[in-house]
Amino acid sequence: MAELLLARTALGGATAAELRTRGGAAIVLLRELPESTMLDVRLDPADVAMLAAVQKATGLDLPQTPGKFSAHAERSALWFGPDQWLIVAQAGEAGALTRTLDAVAGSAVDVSDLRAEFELAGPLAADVLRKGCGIDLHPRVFGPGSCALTSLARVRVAMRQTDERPGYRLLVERSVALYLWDWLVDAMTEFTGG
Amino acid sequence: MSGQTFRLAFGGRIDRSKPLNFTFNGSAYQGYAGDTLASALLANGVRLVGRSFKYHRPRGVVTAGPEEPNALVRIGRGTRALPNLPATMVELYEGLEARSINCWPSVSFDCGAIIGLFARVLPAGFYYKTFMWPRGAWMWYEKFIRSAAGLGRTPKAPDPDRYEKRFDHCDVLVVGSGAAGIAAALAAGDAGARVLLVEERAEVGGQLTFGGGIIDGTAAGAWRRLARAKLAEMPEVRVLTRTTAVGYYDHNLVTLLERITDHLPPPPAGELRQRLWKVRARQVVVATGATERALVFANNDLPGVMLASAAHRYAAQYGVRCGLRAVVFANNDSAYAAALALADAGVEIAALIDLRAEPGTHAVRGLSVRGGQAVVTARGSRHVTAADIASLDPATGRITGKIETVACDLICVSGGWDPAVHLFSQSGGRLAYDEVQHCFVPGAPAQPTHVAGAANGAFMLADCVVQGCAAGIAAARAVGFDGPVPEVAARSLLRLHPMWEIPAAGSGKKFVDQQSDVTAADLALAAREGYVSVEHAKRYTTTGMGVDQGKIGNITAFGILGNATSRSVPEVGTTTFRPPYVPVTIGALAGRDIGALFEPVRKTPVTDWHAAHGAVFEPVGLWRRPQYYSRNGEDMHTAVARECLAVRNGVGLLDASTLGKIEIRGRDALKLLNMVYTNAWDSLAIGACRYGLMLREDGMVFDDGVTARLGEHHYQMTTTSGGADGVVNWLEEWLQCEWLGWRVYVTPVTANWATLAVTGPQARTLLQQLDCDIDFAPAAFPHMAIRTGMVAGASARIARVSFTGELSYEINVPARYGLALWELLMQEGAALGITPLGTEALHVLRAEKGFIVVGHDTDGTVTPHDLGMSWIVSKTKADFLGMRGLQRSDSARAGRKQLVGLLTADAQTVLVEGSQVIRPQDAPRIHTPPVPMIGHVTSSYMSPKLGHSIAMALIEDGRRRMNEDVAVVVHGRVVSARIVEPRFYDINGERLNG
Repeated sequence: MAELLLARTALGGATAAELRTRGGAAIVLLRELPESTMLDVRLDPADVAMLAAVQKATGLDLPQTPGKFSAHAERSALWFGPDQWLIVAQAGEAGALTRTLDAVAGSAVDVSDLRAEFELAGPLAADVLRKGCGIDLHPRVFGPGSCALTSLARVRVAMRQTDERPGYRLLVERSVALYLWDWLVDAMTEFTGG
Repeated sequence: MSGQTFRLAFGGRIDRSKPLNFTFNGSAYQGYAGDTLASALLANGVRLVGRSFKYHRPRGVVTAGPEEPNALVRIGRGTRALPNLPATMVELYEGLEARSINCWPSVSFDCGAIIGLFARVLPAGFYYKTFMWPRGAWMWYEKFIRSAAGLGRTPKAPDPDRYEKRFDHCDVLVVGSGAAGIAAALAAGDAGARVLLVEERAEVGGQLTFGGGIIDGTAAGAWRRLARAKLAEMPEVRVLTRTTAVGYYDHNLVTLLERITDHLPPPPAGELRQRLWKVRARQVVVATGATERALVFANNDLPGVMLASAAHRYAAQYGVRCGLRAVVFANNDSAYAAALALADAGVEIAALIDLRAEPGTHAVRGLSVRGGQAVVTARGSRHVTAADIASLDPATGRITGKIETVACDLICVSGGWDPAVHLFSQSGGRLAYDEVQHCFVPGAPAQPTHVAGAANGAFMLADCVVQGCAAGIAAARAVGFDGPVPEVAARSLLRLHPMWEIPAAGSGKKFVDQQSDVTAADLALAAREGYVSVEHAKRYTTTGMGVDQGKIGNITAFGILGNATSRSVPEVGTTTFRPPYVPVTIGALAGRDIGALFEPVRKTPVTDWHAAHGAVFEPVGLWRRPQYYSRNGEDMHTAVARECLAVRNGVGLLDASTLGKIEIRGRDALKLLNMVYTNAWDSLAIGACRYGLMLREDGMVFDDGVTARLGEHHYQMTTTSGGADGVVNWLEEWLQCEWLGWRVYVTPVTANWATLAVTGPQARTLLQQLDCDIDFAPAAFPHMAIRTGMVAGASARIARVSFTGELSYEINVPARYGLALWELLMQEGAALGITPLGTEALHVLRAEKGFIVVGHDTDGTVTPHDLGMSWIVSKTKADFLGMRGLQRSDSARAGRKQLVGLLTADAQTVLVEGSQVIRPQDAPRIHTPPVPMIGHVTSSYMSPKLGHSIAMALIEDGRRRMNEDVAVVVHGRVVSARIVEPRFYDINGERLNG
């Protein structure tokens, strides 16, 4: 009997992790996160009943404000457009969530394998991002709860800030994940001494 | 070493306890920490620092800032050298190595100076007049002219230093940290705004670092230190020194060049050297100060002729006197302060010559001031030894009376001040001419821009502070940070007597632009020859076209041009101020966009496996796809033939993950397909696939692919590998702009799936070996069907579609399983001889079948009818995108180029793609153009299966020419070929449907 196929993250096999330090203190941390569930959800934002149904099914209020994401119990909904959200949930929920949401939303597509997810965190994380990203990351403008679909190192990313460290999650199309990883590690060398 | 004979015993902001050794043109010198290269050279009495660009005349330091036209040097050596730096801005460090440019073989003996003897034959426009004949010879002349001119040399090898780029944002960007800039930053920072203050020198303060004056009852120097401390305490204020704002673009985007290590001995290679900032500011305060203007008199380029403010700065900031006996020559009050500072530094002031008949009101402390006079000639051969002085008739401006020669070794000049309006002008702001101060000043801004201080034509210290403060408050208020309403301040004016060209008492060139060697006579000549537009005269004479952009001479050039054409300066106008304000290294512009990071590279889950198994990659969009796999050193031809035959005779495996994939869901999905494809989709059953062509509105093919129906309102569309983004944009454009309210959503999912194509007569056998719950029997799973199921634990969509003409299945699994499935197929298929194939074999196989590749056989000018694919264009649908385009007379006319096959007369001759096709009767005259071209080859390969070269071509009226012979021009040789149907193999598709 054939064995089951082995699942691999974008960076090839085991979750890659790198802790970069200067003088012993962690000032910027980059790691690839293990797989999770991601769904592209589309619906008419004027359809209150549909929004309520999604809330009931997922516990998430789909944010109506551009540049924001909502979170509830290990699940997040990122604003991707006036009628588009990305729901991020724990691994293994894709099948059930897709079926549930497909029944109540305009469209729900399982895109769990479309993007790799990186965590970038630490006091200098924003300075790393500023080397390739044109959006304003100052705490007055972009803080926990903010998200953006933007360009980082000429690659499309969905970026959200999760905490005050600051900690960012970067969602990047799987095919360019290694390029972005290499770019980030290179951008960090100013702070890590290579 | 006691070479610093011009160094003052005390004073200045240099550290005499820290001597620094450096070399200039190979000779060793010493300076002090805090020196620039220019100040250290002047301290050592080095006055001759370079040779001029065209005439190779001796030149010295003229300025103390970025406007320096003469003292251009190359710093460092080898691949880390930087050419064309103004010595006035190069901070001295231990071991600095500098060489002047433009002075081969040496500064003091310059064979190029012989050119000076021929100056009469080098007028303005000389190059245009001389080297344009005979036609085409410029390419030959240029080599010699370039090396004679020799503005710096570019290192040939890669630069080992690191350069980066960075974005940032702020509420208020303040450019320049003189009194005005500091006041603006303090005011905006106090209000709570996020402030970025940028200073091009090592320290904030501008003229406050060396000039005197009182601000708010405090000595200027102390005020500067207090302000700096206050700024440091403001958490939202950031100060960048050694940083120049070089460009001002739309939406308040300002680029900054930060020099991080250029002032230090070269650090280990790889350290960050420079950083280019791209700052988006909500408000910008331009406080860039002003540049002193030179005066144009005979031999005014002699070393020892210097801007008065520069001599002042060298004395006060660097403790250097630039001469022992000076003549100060000015047309305004500002040089008086300089003269006093020089006197304080022990320079004997032989005379203060004021062009104004009524000299200024400035205190003179006993200096000899002579009004209504001018320096008419600088005397000396290598540097100034005397000044010829004459009285001028107040009415005519002509020389009256006797010429008096005054011995001196320094002539300090001040022709007034030009506000540094470069950034303001780049931002789109209009300039106005100040008729009293005779300079261009900022007028109405085009963006949220404020201008303060000398940059705004306010040259007095008190006015700078008031204007800076007001600008800072106004900028902060404009973005929501309340502060006191700014006061409107009236500024004092600098009264001056403009005289663009000082009359001559004899011969001697009068330089307007020393770097480009442009004289007053050149400008007059240009005007006489009809170059009266300022933009034309600039290009004809090259004035202002050096790396200094003519900062100390441009306005004078406009004035001289105006004199020659009876126009005022505002009537002449200015040339365009273009970024960058100072030269920017290519390294900084490139940043880290070099090497492996030059451009994103897309990888499939299997790319690393391909690389490890001999794949030779080719770019397809940003993807790198295996073109073929070289086994044991095979060449491409052998590898492709092997891969093709494996597919025709056994089974091949293709990584098709790059195929664009789009999920389409919603009640109106079918409506969408019917609109974007030319054919009808109503009859497509769930579980079935159909091929479609997409047209632009002009009726031209722009993408193709197979779309499968997965559910009632659920489809998966595939696109070409390079076209996925374009198709998504196309669909979204129509849905978002034209078809509002349609209940259909498109989701791009290309990288979500690994798509592995199993193709060949043994494909079914292989799939049946897998742990899979799908029935692959032909009746259960026919050609153009799609099935979903589980393959070895992974959910899969398997489509039976074929691009090779063989029995084929495209297995889609979530990307995470892609590599494992590939390895499983290689392992399970080993007994069947499974062979990975690259894009080249795929192209051969599809060409044998006559399948087109969009973008290869089409080029945006080809309709489905041209391709012989009228069968796919619905005649019954009411509408689809491109339908009307197909009805245009040109799209519908006879005689268009049509896709046909070509078979070469010699089976082994492979045509070159892109080759032109001509009529056979034209073949003898291919070397006597024009030769009518009837088409071109779009695809061409050697078919291993047929043992014959095959090709596809777009040929005028091609289908009517079936079985006719044509000639194809391949690298100047004629190859004969016959037009055939564009299908070469399994014409009835029996293998496909088997």
